[in-house]
Amino acid sequence: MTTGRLPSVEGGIQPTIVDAKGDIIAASAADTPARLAVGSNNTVLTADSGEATGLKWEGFVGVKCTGTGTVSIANNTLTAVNFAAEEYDTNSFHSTVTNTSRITIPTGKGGYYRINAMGRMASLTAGFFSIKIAKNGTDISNSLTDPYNSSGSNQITDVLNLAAADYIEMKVFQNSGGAQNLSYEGGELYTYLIAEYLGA
Amino acid sequence: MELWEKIIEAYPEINPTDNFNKLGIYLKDDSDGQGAFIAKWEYSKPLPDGMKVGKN
Repeated sequence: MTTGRLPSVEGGIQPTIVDAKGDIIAASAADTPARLAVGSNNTVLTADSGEATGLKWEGFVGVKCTGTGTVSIANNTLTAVNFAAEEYDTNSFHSTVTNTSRITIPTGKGGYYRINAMGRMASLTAGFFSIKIAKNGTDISNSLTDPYNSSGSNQITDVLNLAAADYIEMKVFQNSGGAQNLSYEGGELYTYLIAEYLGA
Repeated sequence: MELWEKIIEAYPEINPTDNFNKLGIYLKDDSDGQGAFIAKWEYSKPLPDGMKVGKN
């Protein structure tokens, strides 16, 4: 096959439309070819109607909410866990200032998400320790450990179909008979909430 | 005094380590600064005086 500049006739795509290794030709409209520059290494091509070519290069999308110290969980009170820090947040899912218990799905990012919530309590000698995932304030998944005789962790994973503006939270319940501390960290990360975008 | 303690004070037959949910008492705290509240009350006895379902 020979490459090179074609005569300027209707229907021809000039090889100069691409500029670099990895560039591809896409359509920005009917009968309208356009260049899409190569993306960063290890990103994948994703359809996005908001982009000029309807395509974009995209890497991992997700958020991991964390914190430091402990939070007190009152006895027999289902409590939303606030997160004052993030390990990563690719698309502003979470704020460390307002509604810090929430991971909110941004515009254009509706789809399936893997949600993982993990928590650790320092010392439970009675009752049980439960972690729930809530969507828009309604509990939808529950992991329950019963009974507890020492410190330990509890974890729950679910895959949810979420729309833009939906929010998820991690909620904790315990009935030890008094307040218990949920530990965010102690040299390692003990309590966190993760949302990982899987696709539309 | 925490909300759960006020409920036990009103109904001493409830033990601190009872699962309130199994008794029909659902307490929540949205961690929004407004504190704990009664989300649902299905206990066999009425709400204690001065308490209501929902946030204040």
